[in-house]
Amino acid sequence: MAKQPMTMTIPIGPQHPALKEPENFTITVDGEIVVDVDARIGYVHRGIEKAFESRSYSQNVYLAERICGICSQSHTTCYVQAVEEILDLDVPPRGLYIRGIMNELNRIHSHILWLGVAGHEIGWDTLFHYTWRDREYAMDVIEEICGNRVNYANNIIGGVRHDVTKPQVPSMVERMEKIRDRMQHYLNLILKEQTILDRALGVGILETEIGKALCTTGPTARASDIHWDVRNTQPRTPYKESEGKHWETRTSDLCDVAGRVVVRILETIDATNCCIHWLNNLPPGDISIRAPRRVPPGKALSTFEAPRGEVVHYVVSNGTDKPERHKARAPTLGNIPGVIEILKGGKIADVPIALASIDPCFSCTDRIILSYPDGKKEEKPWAWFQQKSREERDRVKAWRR
Amino acid sequence: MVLEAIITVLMIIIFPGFLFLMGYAFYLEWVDRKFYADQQHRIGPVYTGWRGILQPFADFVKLMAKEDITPAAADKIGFTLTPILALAIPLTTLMLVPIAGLTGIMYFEGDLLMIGFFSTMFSMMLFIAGWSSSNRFGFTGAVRGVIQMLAYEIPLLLALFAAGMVAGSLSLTGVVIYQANLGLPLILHPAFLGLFIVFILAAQAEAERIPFDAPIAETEIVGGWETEYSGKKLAFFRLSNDFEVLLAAALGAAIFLGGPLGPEILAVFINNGLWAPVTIASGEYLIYIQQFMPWLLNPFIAGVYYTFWFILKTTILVLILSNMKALLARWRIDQIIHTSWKWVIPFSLIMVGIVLAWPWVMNWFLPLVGIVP
Repeated sequence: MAKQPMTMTIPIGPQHPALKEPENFTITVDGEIVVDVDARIGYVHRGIEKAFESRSYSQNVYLAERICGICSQSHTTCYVQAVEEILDLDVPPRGLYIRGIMNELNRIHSHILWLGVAGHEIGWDTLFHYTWRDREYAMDVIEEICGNRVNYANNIIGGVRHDVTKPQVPSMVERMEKIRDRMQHYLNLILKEQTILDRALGVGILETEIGKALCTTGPTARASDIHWDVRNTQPRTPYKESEGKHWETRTSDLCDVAGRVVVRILETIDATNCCIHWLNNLPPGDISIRAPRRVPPGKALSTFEAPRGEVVHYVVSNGTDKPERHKARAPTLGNIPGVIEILKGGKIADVPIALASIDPCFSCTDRIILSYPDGKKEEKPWAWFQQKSREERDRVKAWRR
Repeated sequence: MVLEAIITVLMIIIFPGFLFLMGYAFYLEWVDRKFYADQQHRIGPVYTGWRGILQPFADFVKLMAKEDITPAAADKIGFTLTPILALAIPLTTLMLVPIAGLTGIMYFEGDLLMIGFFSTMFSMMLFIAGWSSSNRFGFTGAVRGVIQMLAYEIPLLLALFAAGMVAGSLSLTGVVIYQANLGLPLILHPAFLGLFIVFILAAQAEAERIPFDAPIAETEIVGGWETEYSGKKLAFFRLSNDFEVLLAAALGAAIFLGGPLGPEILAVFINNGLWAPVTIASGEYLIYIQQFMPWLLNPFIAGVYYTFWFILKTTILVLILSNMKALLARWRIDQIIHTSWKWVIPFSLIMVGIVLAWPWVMNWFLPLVGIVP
């Protein structure tokens, strides 16, 4: 008689200490080895795309900001880029540079936050507390520029709202240098500390070919040696001038958690270099130009390299002051097929760090997709959505029992 | 006779028994938390008492007042009994450790065996706790706990029994008296320096602290074996973990650092004429005390004096354990097993070999440098 594997399913989520946001991964384990993973997304659907269609373009900037709490600047940048493309606006270079500074500050604090969370997932809370202390430097700089820490409200269609004045620059540069030194220190530390290497090297492997086939993006893809960075493939103003001098597409051929750590730390160091250079060499001039309220009919697809990967915003306008259709894709959605592949074949103990290694931001990803198998599109009434919601609740209740 | 019985009961209940140990366990948790926080650039508990010294006690009281839920699927007997037993086992073991004097409250020839038995029983209690809670995370944590026990009980017992071999006694009190008569703490013995490192690792694994906290790994398996516990039962488990840390520190202090003995033993060492062959029964320490430090024969002064050195030594040991917790990341269970069976157990066996060979080596070496034992 053939030996039957003893398997057990363990639900990771929607509520689990390793996940900061609700998402369900039902993992099937044979002993400590993960043999199968089933991901279930869609716990925090907020109807944000529908909300876009009922608000004006300038109101939608605030809405785009609230797609993600961490990479908020990336979403607004991506959205205003799309609208500016339809409007054919010529944004002043100073505005673009300040936008770039904010984006890189965003990347710095997001990557440092991730490094802390990764430390926490493998039980090294000391790294968590140290990195989050250093992250405050970036947060303070952001606060000095625009007065906010989470949703910056700095991007507007046609430029930015807040200028960086000359007296502000030296202290900002000083803090950027502090962050750069600290990140260099963490890089050296992590490459030497044995328990970290034990938990990171060879864990959560995503081969280059599989990573390409599953359309992974961002540092996850770059750590699998996929040379893909939107800042490099579609160069825009501040990045175009600085590429090769202050930043480059960082890749790693380790294909594992350690590779993702190294790629992110190097990107943070690059981002501080960019910030320092741009702060010292801000072009003179206006920071924004006035944009019309109504947008002529047209459509634009805009992409931007957020800290987690490629953000895509697609805007269709119909000549009024509200978009006809808006589609946002957060990078984590592209990485979920990849993370299933990462988890398979690993150990239960490695699930949290392997999951965290894609820097998941699940709540940003959740959109509803309605498929019409018979090809006939129909409007769904509100009661239909309520009915679906109740069915889902009953399903979860039955599953708990 | 009656007075002696009363004094024994008071010792068990108040000092250095339950009440003292409970307060001291809370104190050690505070030391651990404060030091761990300091390592991480935090402040740690602040509000309750002087620099938050009452925080562990406040947490305990708060947990005792919380709702106590027993899952419908749980095995009621195991689920209810294990917190009590997990609290009782380290507390009983601590009765055997010398704290306020040269001897423990209870001592008998062979109590080292009993300590080994109790430490295994403690791990078994945690296994039963996880098993009887009928939870997938609890089950995983319980199995991990047992695997970890198999890896780290052996080095712990080897460290204990090596001390017994040197002292010629299978009693913890005997080991302490041997160190008193010899005039040196055992850690100065080269083999015991190695065994001390082994002991620290094993103690950290016994108390299930980072890097050996795989059985309760919060981010991996929610809470491991303690996932389903809440309220009073969880409070008991937390307190038992404090006792486990205290027990580890107390055992380490007794075996390697001379337990409650102060620096007066160095004077005994010199008085002995260095490297004198001593046994437990030979009583050099008592003779020295009677001759030069008669005030230490007063039981009250002795209680304060010995407790002071005990507190000092255990606090230092807890600081070492906390430092380890702050510096390292959590190991996977397979890495724990590999480290133990590939490195720690062979290393401790070699150290025990050195302990056995030491008398012959010294008999050969000491005459060469002009000391005739």
